[in-house]
Amino acid sequence: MGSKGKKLLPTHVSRRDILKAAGYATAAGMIGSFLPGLSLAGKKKPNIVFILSDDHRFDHLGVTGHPWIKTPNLDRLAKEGVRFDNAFCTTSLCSPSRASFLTGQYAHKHGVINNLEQWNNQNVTVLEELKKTGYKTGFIGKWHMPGSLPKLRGVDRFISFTHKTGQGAHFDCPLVIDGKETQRKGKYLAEDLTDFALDFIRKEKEEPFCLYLAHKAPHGPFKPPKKLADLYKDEPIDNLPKAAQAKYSGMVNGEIYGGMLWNVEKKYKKYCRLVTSLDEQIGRVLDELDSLGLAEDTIVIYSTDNGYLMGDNGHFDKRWAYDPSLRIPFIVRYPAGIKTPGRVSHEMVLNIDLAPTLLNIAGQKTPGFMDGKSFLPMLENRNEPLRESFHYEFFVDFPPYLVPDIDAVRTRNYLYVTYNNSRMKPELYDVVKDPYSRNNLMGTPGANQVLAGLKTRLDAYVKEKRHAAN
Amino acid sequence: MQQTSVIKKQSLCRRMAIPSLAAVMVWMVLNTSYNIFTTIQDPGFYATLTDINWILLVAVVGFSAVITYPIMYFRGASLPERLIGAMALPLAFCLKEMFRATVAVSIPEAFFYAFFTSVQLLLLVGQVGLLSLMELICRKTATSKKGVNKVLTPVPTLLFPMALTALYFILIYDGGYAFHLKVKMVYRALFL
Repeated sequence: MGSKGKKLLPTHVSRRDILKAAGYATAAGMIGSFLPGLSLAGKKKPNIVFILSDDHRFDHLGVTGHPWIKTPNLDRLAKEGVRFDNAFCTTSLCSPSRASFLTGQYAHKHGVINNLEQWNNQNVTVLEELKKTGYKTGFIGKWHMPGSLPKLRGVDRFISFTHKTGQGAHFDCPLVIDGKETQRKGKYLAEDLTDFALDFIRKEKEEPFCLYLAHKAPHGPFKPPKKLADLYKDEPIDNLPKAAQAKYSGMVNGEIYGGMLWNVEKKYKKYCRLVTSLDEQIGRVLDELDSLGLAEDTIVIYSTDNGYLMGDNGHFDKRWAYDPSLRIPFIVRYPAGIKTPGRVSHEMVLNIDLAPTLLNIAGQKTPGFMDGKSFLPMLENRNEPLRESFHYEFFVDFPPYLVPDIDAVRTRNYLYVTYNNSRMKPELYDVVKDPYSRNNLMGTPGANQVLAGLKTRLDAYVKEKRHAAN
Repeated sequence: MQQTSVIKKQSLCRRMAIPSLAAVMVWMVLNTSYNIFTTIQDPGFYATLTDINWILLVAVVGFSAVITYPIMYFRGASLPERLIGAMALPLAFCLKEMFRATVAVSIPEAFFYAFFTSVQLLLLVGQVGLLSLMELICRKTATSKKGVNKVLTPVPTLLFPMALTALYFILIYDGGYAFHLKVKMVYRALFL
């Protein structure tokens, strides 16, 4: 190369060069906002701790204004992070929702449509994708999908249980630890799983890790630890709908739900104690991250598989397409990445969004097979709406649950529910004025004004679902 | 299971139809009132009325044979008549449940739900046990009224503890969960 050849490093920097460089930098920044993985993900890969509970109703947290339930650790998580107050599951049932969190897909796509259909081993999980990017991965806790435990690809540590067809038990629940069944006499499940989670964090702290910690609590049968036996004993339950005020489950059309039969109040308070005991275990995880100095670079996400009806519309349990069944708590803390912590985001976030978001944070694009969207912009407080509506689907999960197939559309303002192969009539709720879906607007004068738009949206969703199924 | 000769046989209407239909009618009234009460807006009023109604419903559906069976027995109803009469209400309940199930599933699945899931089986098996017990009690009472037949015969004597054992597995063992899983397993084998 002669003297006129370009130098590798310029010795003189002109004003034009500076402006040019600034222009490139600005353009790169703008592209970064469109390409996932170039902003938050541009930082060092954060550790990921995803904590999933079971049947945790969206408004049963101190931070959501429950009159007496104690959840100091989840409240702390919300205070230090972002709480999504419009978070939903796309199918309100354990197995389908859990598979949706893992795959980023709707139930009609991943195939676990109810608690009876088995997991397809061809499904690709977010853990498998994260493993490819160099993460150490651990799945600890409730798998709860029919059939035997799968050989999950891309998982370094797999601890789960098959006891009671995967439902587990709050006490003495045998665990399958990396393929080997082990008795756990005298152990409280939430505590036992947390112990393993802490071991995993300590062991993998030097590398980016992703821990998927899935609890059984507060799922029924409601058996909290004995030390909490008197907690909430004298608290009133007038925050609940009238069906829960009856001593024996006062349900519609002669429906009987064993889970809440015989003294609803006692069972409800046990449920609340389980929420508090779960919160204690979450506190242990947060404390451990603090003591290891990992909190700053660890993204902690808390959510649940589905909501829970506490007498809403005369129903207990989940499955039905009413807001307390669809809505889930969803809290994200990431000190190094979240702008203005302590915020509440009103964007509609879904269970299927978890996988794309985690991949984006790890610097990956959302794979084409995933249905969810990354909520990374919400963590960065960017003014980018995530979605205007979503499709809720439910597939019969019989017996003994007499809930028909459902297709519903939930927008920011309305919930439109249709029942398939059933004599049940469609329902419409104004979710802003009626956040518990108690007043069906079908047949009222205002209903027709919004129905056409909702039907069009729902038709498009159902068409897409049928297309995917074919 | 033969009746004592001292009992006078009354008309079919009096010995069977009236007691069994009366039980069915009371159940229908309570069922209707329960559904009406669920529309009451005041939570306290609603809770009081539905709770009372619920207890009465359980009592009538599950235990009406305590009253109807002896009436039929001492009005001279034969064993098949007593069985049909006493089972009328539980069967009506199961049929109502079958209709309710068709809101979500096919008729064969609804039939399975109405006769082979925990709540309905609890009722049907419980009824078998209750009828066995009532038969023994009626015989004992009839014997003390100078009847001549034996009180303890193999069928009712064995059916009663068998029913109790079945109830234990359906309701109490593992809180009913183990039985619930068996029901699901059978359902999967039959319908999926």
